[in-house]
Amino acid sequence: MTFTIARLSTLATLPTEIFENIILLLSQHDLTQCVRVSRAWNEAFTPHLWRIIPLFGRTRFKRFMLPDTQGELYKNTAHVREIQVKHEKLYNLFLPSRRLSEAILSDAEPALSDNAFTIGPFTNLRVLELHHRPLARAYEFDEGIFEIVRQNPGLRRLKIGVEMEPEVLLSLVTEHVPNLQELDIETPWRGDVKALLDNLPDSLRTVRLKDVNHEIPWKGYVSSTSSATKRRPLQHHALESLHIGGNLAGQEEQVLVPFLEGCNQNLKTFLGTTRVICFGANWTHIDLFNRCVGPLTAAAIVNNCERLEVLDIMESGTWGLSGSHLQTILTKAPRLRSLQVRWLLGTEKISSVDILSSEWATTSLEHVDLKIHVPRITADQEDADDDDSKALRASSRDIQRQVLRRFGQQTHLRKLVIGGMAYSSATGEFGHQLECLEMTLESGLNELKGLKELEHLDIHDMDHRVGVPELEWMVANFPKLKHLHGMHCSLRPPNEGVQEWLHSHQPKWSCVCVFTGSVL
Amino acid sequence: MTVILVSSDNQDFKVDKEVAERSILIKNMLEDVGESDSPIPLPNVTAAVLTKVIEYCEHHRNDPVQVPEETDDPRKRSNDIEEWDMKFMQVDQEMLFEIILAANYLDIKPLLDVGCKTVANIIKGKTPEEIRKAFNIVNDFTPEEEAQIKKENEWAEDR
Repeated sequence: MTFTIARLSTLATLPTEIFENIILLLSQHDLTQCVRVSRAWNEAFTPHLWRIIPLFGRTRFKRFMLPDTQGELYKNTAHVREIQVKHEKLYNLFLPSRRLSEAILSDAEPALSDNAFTIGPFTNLRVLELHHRPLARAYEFDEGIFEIVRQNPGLRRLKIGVEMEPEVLLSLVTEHVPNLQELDIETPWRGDVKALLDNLPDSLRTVRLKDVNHEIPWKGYVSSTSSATKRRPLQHHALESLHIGGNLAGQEEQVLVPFLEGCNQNLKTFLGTTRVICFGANWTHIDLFNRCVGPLTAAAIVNNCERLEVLDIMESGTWGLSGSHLQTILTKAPRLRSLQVRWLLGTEKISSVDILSSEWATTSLEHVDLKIHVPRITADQEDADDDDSKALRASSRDIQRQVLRRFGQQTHLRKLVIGGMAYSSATGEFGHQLECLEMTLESGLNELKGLKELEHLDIHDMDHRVGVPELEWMVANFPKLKHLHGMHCSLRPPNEGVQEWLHSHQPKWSCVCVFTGSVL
Repeated sequence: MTVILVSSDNQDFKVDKEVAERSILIKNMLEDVGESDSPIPLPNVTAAVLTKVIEYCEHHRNDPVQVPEETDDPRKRSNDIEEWDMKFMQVDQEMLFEIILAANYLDIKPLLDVGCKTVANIIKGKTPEEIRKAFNIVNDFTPEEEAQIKKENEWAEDR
């Protein structure tokens, strides 16, 4: 067995795959200790130590800029796969450094560019992430960044959090990163968004443009022939996720529609603060916070909602998505988990008719935020004893019960928000919801007994009738309830005993009054 | 059904087929050979090591077959070794490495993983001197050389 002792003498003589398996389990700090153990270990571990250059924090950055480090960097640039820099002095990496040239000249190496980062060019980069806090205009180091990217056509992930000249960035992204899979532009980018989108590399899987400001090129609006780019057939089949924020200057259709049409194959997630009118059948998330949803968009959503899991459109639009659209979505989207359309129906709440007209396809709803219209009787009719009033009362309560039964079937429901002010066509004003669920036991509250996961119930600004029996029922049936909003701002004085009950029972929920913000 | 495995030093090991097939190499061999009874030679594994490997496979005979995980983060963790496995790996270093090599040759991924995690855990958190002691390695750097290396790579240390 003597040969095994010799084999043992360095871990570094294990077969490569095994060695690399072990390396993956070690932190970069561990590797700094390993390279000091012996010559053999140094040789085996050094390439792995230099795989990732993460420069966060002042100490690390300062040490990195020392001549000794730079010298070692120079020898190991071929091993570097990832560079992540987040430091306000990022530009130091791209400005000439006198100490640097000295270090290199002393080795009698041929004179290279003075730039720290272009020393012995990185050629095997897969990931480049650059951030800094914008302290000063920094176009000076565009060239340095450009150089690194240009020398690394193998880049897979590029995250730019520094301001760059729009033309430079455009050229960079559309011409020099043919294998890019992830693109993340954090800083505001002002330029021709259409040219950018039309010419993105086909290999992209994820694109995030946090804050764009579309500018139609001054040459005239045919952006596809701008000098830096040429038009190619659109085929972003690999794209799975697109986030685009900012302002498309009213050009959403021209900019986004052709792009989205070209990449609907795999696109699953779209997040935008822009108006969009094109969706693909594979979409699972639609999140359009703060934007109007027009009729075309609404139709597109409804036509493509089979895989929809999340529909979040919280905007005070008065046109577009209507109650009947929502009804269709409820019957067509079996995977729907989150339905947040609270402000959407500014003039129109979703009516009980729409909710009840057919069974819902989903039983996985976890989060619902919308307003529901149910017919209610007037205050006089409430106490009246004549047959007509009784019939109306019974009919209203029956409808409410059925609505609540629908919700009661959503046993995963955690957050139910049906409160909030609504526009009333009767009064022509915004105000409390008058024709809304009473949320009493008589009108079907107990249909919700299956909602054991419910954590949050919001019925504020509603003319509800929750009283002590209802509160006791909730304590007994909603074991996970943490928040109940709406006990202090109903239209009429709270039901008898409610204040005292809340005070004496101190349920573990918080009960917030929206107006005064006071918490019980 | 049992199979016979033969170590490099010519010792026979009779093992249940189900246990032996934890090794993908052996599994494939058995599929090729069919119903034959002939023993399977393992020229790269000594009896001592094979004993340990079989012990591992016996204990884990009912484990579900691992599906390779496709996560974006290639960095793995080493702090999730089962207690039995941990005790199993308390062997001298020579045997530890032999087990790793055998697991690699026989294609028993879970055993290979445990072996690698064990080695990684020996290294983690140690200074160079402590690592040398743990692996019985002679320091062939001069103090100046070692200091220089430390300086060059200090940026990557945790502080």
